[in-house]
Amino acid sequence: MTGKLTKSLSDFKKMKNNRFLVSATILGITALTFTSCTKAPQEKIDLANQAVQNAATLEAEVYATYNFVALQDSLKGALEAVEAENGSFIKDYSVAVEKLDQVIILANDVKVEAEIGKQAYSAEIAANIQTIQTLLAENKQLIEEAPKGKEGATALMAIKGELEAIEVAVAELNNLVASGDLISSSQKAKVSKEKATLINSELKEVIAKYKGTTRRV
Amino acid sequence: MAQPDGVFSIMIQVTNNLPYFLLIIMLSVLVILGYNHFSQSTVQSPDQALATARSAISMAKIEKAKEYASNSLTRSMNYYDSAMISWETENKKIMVSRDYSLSNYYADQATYWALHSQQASQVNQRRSKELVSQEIKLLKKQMNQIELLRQNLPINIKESKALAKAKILFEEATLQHSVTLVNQNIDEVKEILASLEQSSKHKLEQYFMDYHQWCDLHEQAVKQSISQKTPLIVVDKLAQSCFTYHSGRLINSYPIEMGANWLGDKQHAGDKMTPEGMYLVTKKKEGSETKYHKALLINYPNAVDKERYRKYVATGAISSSTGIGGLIEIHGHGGKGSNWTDGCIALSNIQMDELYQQCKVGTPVLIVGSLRPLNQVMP
Repeated sequence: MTGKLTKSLSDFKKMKNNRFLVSATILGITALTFTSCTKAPQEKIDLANQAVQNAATLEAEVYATYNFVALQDSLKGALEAVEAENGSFIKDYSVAVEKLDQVIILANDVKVEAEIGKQAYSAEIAANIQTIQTLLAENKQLIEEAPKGKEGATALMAIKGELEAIEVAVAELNNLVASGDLISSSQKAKVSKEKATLINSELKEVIAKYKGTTRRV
Repeated sequence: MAQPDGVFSIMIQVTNNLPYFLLIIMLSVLVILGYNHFSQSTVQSPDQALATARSAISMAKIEKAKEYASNSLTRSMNYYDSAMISWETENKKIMVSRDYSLSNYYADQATYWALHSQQASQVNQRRSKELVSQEIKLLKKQMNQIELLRQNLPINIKESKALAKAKILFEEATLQHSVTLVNQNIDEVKEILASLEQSSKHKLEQYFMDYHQWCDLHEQAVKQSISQKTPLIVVDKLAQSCFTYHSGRLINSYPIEMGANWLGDKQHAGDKMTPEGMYLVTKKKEGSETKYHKALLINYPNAVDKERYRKYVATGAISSSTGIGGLIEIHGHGGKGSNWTDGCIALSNIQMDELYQQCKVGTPVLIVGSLRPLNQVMP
């Protein structure tokens, strides 16, 4: 019995000599176990998704079209990176997290771009509406100033018709702006402005043509 | 005692050989990892295929596939989502039982449909642009025709507004970014133009009911000019022109201006219509006799006009308190570019001087709606 014990203790001492090897192996297995159980960065995924959603809510698809497509692509790329790690035995989400962080940054940039785009459109539309209204007021004044003789009456009647059509277009334009369709509004405003400018010139021409013809015919 | 001793002995043996056991475990892990690597290289993880699909989808979106090839783009996006779901499902399985073939298939399909939508979008955009361009050309032509047609007609404020609206919508259509909005505008313009065209054509068709009568009167007047070797004035209302003849030979033509409501025969005082029929110059006026430079007074109302007026009054079409009108002249002060008189015919002063010289009291004046048939008038 004592002999056996002595032999065992001697073996145990041998084992002690191999402690380094044992520790290293245990550490290795532990590391493998822990890395294979690493969780996906769900919080980051949610943040990135939310950031893209926020950009979409600000109509980035319309006002920052190309960068919004790039943003959607980046998000998908990041999610693919996450899924690639999900399938790995040794999981390392650092690259995926980095990609998700980039998505969040890009989403904010796209949001800003969309906001700037919308503001630019709004400013342009507001300026054009202002110009149209000034022109309409001026045109109405010019109609008043135009000779009242019957010789100009028919021409003025036609111009009045066009002026009224612009007023209708401006009212539609305001509705379109209120509905948030800034690109169409911008185009509509441009056309109405051109038309109002043209009528302004026509009116001035008509007035110039008939000015001085004060004789009643 | 033998049992504990045996267990202890085994424990001692295991403990003694622990490094070897651990080594075996490590080797097993390596084998599993190796298998995993092997299996992944056999049925590859769909990451590459998905990256390709994603890139193709982005390109398709940039090519506006959402607007021009939405079906194939949606199909592609659905395949992409299916590939992701399949990948996710497989990744949840133990490594050795994973099969990415379905996910790869979906990813490949996503790429195929994305590329398809990209190409379809390019083709459809080109086609759409061509179609819109053709539509716009046709509308432009139609608008010009209607304007020409309307030049032949008195100004109508309601129609002027409609035409102005159509012009605004047309201009908008040429600027629109979205094919849907372009088509909306085009449809609205078409509707307005069709209505204007129909209304204008209807007016002209009604007006041309008297065409044969105008032709007969013209033929008779020219024959009379030939036989009597006298001057003749012919007013073509639709052509807005006044022609002078001598001995049946056309001498000259002058642009004229008339009453704002010139389409149709004069019925009564104040209707701003220019009469139609055979008349004579009854008086030549100049100096203090006229405020329109020079004037040729004609015998409106003639017997035909009086008879028609009586009929209208009798049927109640014209109130008996409304006069038949009169003092219709060909006079100066024209050249204003619009129809502004109360029913008279106005020429520029220079042309009035010429006409005045060619005529004398008794010169026949034929006023007709048109000397050209309707099919030549209608654009």
